[in-house]
Amino acid sequence: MNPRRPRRGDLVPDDPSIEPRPRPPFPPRPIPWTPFGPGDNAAPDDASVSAQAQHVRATLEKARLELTGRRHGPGPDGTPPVVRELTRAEGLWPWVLIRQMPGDTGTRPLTAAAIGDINHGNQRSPDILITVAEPGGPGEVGRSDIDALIAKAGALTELFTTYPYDLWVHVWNLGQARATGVRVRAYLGIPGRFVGGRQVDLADRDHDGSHRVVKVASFTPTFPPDDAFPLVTVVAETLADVASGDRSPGMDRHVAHRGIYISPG
Amino acid sequence: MGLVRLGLDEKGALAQLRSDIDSPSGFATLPDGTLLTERSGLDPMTRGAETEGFGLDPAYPRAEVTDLDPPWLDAAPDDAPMVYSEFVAPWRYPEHNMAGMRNGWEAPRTHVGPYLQGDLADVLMGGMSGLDTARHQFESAATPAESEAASAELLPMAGANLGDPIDYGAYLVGQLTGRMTTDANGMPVYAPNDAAAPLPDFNLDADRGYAYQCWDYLRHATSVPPAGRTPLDTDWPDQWRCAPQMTTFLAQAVPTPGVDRAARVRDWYGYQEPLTVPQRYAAGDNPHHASIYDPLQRIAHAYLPPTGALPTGWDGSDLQVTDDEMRAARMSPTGRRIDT
Repeated sequence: MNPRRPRRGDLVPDDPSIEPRPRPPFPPRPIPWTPFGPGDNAAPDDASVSAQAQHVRATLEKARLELTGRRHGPGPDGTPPVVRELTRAEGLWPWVLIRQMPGDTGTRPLTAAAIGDINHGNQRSPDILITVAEPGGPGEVGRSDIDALIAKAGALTELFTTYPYDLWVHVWNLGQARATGVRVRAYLGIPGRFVGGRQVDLADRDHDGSHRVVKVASFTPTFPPDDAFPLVTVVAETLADVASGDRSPGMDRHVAHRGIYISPG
Repeated sequence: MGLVRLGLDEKGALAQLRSDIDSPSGFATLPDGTLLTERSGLDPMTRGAETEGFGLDPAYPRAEVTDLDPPWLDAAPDDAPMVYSEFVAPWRYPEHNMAGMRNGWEAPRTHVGPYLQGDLADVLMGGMSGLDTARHQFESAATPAESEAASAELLPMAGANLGDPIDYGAYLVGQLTGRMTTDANGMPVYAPNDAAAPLPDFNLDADRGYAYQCWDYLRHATSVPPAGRTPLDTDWPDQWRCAPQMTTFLAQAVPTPGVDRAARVRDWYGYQEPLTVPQRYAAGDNPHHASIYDPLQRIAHAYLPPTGALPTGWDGSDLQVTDDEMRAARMSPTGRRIDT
């Protein structure tokens, strides 16, 4: 009679008859679909994507309606609240500006008459100032020193190609969000020759640092062969409020112009 | 500039920006009357001479800003408890709460200090040297009323005050330092310069008024009835003993046999009930009396004696806020407007 085969209950933990048994492989799991992910190997279902987008839009619109109602109450005669589209100035965004004239809040395009004045040198941006270069001088001017800077700039009626000059720009942020990393670039003539640039941070419009006067460039002008009355063009933009790229006068609030007169030294 | 200039409210920076935009230089100079719209500090022209040194806000100190819970939602039920709400829109302080109700004040009125509307924050750092005679007058005040009288006399005079923190700190160091000397037995002892007239402990956060010394409420003395009529009289015999309601359900979930939590809280954190309970006093702190804050009663309070004991005694004076006080504050302590 053959001996009884050992059963599980007969074995002790160190019994040599217990061998390690290999674990069977896991069955392959389906890879979930994610946009451009490893499971994205098929054409997306347009209908479901559209339905999802529609659902998100409906949810947002419902929330906006509810929040508008909480803030402003219902519409007339108990109708749903009237949702008004926010402008960029009302939303939490920067509103970078270089004024083309006093009182300029960034409405563009300017009138044809104003643009004509700019092109003929009669309209100068008050936010672009040029002074004789002062190496080692301050890089920024505040409220208490602006009058002295304007007096220096006013004394200059023409620039000479043998002297270096400082270019100052007054940059503004009229938005409700602070403007971080605003890049201010200055060009001379059209098409512009880059003469210098600088990066500044501006507070939101409710704080004192929302506009600053900074030295953007120190440059020695060259005599343009085809234009004795070139424009100084200044562009200020940040990632959250980019310029359009149009540097023609009066088209973009990020851009301002100032006509100058250059004489050979 | 709104946070560092006294009297410039949250709209001041925007008004300045509008003028700056219109200015050819980009930096306009606005008259203070246009910018300083918040009633803070003393009138810079008169220093409060016409109002006995009181500030531009005649109803100082103001009451705490409270609203129905939750304060940020206008749908709170009418019977919801009142909670602090100043943090929801701090710029509304002290005029209105979130519901638009005018905020009242806590009697008695106090002086706000020597700082003028329009002062910049740097006036705190070496901008105000103070006056020794004024310091001595404030130091010799033994009651809040005497401090108020000193403020009424001194604050309208330029420079007649304790001084800014730096100058007063230097004065304080000078008073508290001294020299080594010998006593009657020939033993060396340290004699501070203020040994003859020790300096009082000023209440440095000045939560009631300018130049206030450390103060406390006048409180009810212990009162234990000879024979308690109810179980509460046995468990909580002192009729004027209060205890904060701080036993949470978590504390009750932990078994502590043989320990009366209520008695322990009463022993550790108990306090005697003030004669006039302040705003936001929790009536449940004393089950014997459901006392509530009465804004038409002046807070009964006194300076802490130098011995460190609690102030005692109430002279029996009438604590009711008078018509004259309300007219001077231009409103009742509840916030009701009073035309002068």
